[in-house]
Amino acid sequence: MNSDPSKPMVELRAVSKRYGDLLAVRDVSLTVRRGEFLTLLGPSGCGKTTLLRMLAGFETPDAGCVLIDAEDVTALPPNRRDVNQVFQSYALFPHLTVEKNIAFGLQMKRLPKAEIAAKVRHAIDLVALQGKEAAMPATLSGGQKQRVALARAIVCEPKVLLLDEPLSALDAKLRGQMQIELKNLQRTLGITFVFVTHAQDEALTMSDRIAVLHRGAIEQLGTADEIYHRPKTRFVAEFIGQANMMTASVRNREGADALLAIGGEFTLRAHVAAIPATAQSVTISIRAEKIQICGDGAAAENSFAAEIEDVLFRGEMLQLTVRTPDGLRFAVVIANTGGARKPHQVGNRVRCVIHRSDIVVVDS
Amino acid sequence: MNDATTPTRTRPFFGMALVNRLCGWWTALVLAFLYLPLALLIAYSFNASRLNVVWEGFTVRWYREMLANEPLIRALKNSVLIAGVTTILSVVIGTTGAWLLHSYRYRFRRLWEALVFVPIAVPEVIMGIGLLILFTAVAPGINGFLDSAFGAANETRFALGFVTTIIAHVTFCFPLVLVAVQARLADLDPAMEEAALDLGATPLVAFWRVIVPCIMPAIISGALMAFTLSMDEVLVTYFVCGPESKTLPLEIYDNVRKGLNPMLNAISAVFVAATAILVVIAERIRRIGR
Amino acid sequence: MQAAHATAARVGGRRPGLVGWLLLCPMLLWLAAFVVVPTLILAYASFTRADEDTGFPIYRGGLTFENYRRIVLDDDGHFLRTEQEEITTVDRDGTERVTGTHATTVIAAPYLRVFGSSLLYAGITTVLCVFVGYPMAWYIGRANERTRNRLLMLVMIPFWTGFLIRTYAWITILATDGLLNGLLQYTHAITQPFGMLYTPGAVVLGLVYSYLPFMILPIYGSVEKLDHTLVEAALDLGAGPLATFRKIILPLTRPGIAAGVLLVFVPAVGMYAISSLMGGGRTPMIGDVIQNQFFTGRDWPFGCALGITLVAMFVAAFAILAKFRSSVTGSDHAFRAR
Repeated sequence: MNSDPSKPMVELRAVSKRYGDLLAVRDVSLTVRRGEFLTLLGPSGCGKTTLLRMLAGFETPDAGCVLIDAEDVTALPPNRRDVNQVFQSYALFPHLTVEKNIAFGLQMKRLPKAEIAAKVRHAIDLVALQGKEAAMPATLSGGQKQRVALARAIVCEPKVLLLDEPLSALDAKLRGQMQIELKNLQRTLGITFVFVTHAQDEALTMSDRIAVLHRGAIEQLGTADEIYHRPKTRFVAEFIGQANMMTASVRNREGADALLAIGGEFTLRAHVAAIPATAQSVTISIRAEKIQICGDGAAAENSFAAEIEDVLFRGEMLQLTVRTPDGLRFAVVIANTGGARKPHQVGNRVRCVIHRSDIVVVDS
Repeated sequence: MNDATTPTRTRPFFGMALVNRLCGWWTALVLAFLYLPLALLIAYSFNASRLNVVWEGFTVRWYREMLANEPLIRALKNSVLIAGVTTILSVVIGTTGAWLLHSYRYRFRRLWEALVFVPIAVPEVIMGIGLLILFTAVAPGINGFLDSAFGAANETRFALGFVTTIIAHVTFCFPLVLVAVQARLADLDPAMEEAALDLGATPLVAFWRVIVPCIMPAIISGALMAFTLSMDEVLVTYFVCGPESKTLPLEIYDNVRKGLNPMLNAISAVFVAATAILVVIAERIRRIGR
Repeated sequence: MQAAHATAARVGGRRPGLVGWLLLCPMLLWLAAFVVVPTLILAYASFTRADEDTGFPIYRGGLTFENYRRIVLDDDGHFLRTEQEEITTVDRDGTERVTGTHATTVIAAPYLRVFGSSLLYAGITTVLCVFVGYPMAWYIGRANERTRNRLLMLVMIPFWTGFLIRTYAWITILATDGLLNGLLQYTHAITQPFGMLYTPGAVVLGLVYSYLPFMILPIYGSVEKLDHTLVEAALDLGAGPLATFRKIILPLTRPGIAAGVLLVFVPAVGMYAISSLMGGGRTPMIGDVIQNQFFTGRDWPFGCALGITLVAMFVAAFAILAKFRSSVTGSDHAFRAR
């Protein structure tokens, strides 16, 4: 870690990868900063795993190049790259004990025995596996295997740690706990993490930045906050959280605001600095939880009357479907404060309010 | 399985239970059919009477006769030597072949894989005559070459014998090892090799230190299968073995043709016991790896 | 090897480099030298004439179809022959009377008839193995793991003991001076030993005994893979055990049956020792006839022609079976894709 700290740790320059007819990765450029926790997020088949495998060296891009710590490693085989991976299946060597699994990478580097022993002990402490040194992988629980895989990778002190959906095999509760542990570990060690997942909660919880991938290309790169609140594309808005996607025509502009007509008569006022001045029609996204329900009160700005068509009980929240007199439907998520009194029932007439800055215009 | 006509028709689960029970009895019957002849064979190997159904007392005379039978002991030594060499060659060819076919996308891979199955699928008599005719066709050429290379002093001649027998045995044994190892590799997590490479191992080190230990149970059980088959084989061996490399099964075959003989019971008993031990060991090892 | 890894794709998907091919070479050369080349020489030799003294093929003596002609036609050059058979009727008082003649057309060539009888023996053996083996394979496949492993081991031990020992075991039982005759005489059930060995029944018994494990193991494999909830679903939907077997179990275990049929039928047709040991040469199978050409008969080219004919039959059978199997395994995959 004695290189120039201002340079990025990982850099992908216009990489593409094709499998037969399938263009798995198309012209992706991406930089990962030193010590950053970057997540590649997307549905299966979006190219995120292929990108990770290119970083590890298991795949060679058809075009473009891969730089790690400012060194071009495009043609370097995986065993000569200073990166390590935590595999989705953990890939623990079944014939070796926990200790020997962790020591494997250090033995390959031909470090002195005493040094290996010290480092392995430290790694075991770090992942809290004391007492399991001599256990065989088959006897471990899922969470313990996960820790061994993690220890085996970080003990080599890689420049970049690659994690390929490492939490997907764990149950929900353990997964939540491991998310926090992983994030803490990354902060303590200061290693650059590149994390691949299809689960948005993992991405939003742990990442410094998230790259949302779709059909082999990056749709949006940004912090969790940006990705969530300011989705740039329709895909990002739909993939993360729950959003109402609508097509609106621009009626008239008043400075930074515009009046948007949805369907026929239904209009909303939106803060639309981002809309190109010439656009006639735009796609807008309104997050389900940003629509407020306020009884059947007085008309505020951007408020409209609607009838509750459906109520789903989701535990800490309620998911409603409301319908305007024009026939427009909105999905609305509100905190479930109900209990004994049930204010929201099918057939109730309510008033919905949307703040104008919560209407986001996306590329369609 | 035709108990559907019984009144249990309206209670299908009971019907299936009955089917399973009938199958259980049937299994017991078939096992009796499989083992009764072998049990009798072994029992009568200890019978003092020569060729009589009546038990006339316990004896190990036939075993002593067997051990004193010189051609038989020579044949046993030949068989062990041939099976040993065959096993080593089969393991080397079969394991590397399985690994290569598993990990590389060769051009015409399906053709190569089909070719491996030919020695398993072809009737033994065809394989026997094919190899016999090959060996006799190339023998004059090879001997001519040997003579011209080593001159008049040459005494090495190519003829049917140990070399041809081992070649034949390897040809039908290594596909067994290959198939066993390939099945194991198919179950192996592909990330296993990648993890080793990722941790800095070269492909060769990854193969030796990670892949081979992972597939070791399959290699061992494949090796035991190869050894057993080589020890038992008659049909192909009959064609390709020379007088000095006569194997144990061929010696037994000649004896069986001469008629009943309690010494043959003794040999058979030893064979059954040895095979049973090998099969049990092979199974244990195969299961440990699971 | 490193060059190969630079282009590494998913396992099983990477293209081999020079090293990859070089490593595969020993195996390919072995197969070429000891499987492909012998077959080619065999095919060539089947068109040659035999040396009068040694029976070896004369490779440079010109080619001939004579060997194949001898297989297909009899000495007079006929393919079919008509045989007159007398029809006898038994009167009420028990006397037999010839009431007419009946003409049957049979294949004339003796060797073709041996092929026919070999196929018949192998066919009967295969069918018997299916019926004897299927219920057992089913039971093993459905048993709990402990029982299953034990039963499998019990099936495998005779399988690996070698057919010679197994055949000898039956000879000791069936021979004129064997255990069964001895037992029957000892209990005074019979006075004279009768010949059970050297009959077609003995040959079939020996073949079934030797090849039964080859049938049980692949069917067991199919049964074990069969998702038992499918059976329960069928029963739940109102099918009786028989209908469930016909509509669900049988189609899904058909790949195992097909593999078992292949594993039993192919070696049973080519087998030569069991028929000569238990059939006493009275019921020759094609394997014995081929073997004779190389040792006692001393006509290698003719033996080669018989071998090639046998292989050709198998190739045809394989092709038909492969077509049949691919359509079945297709549906099998659909089930496993769940």
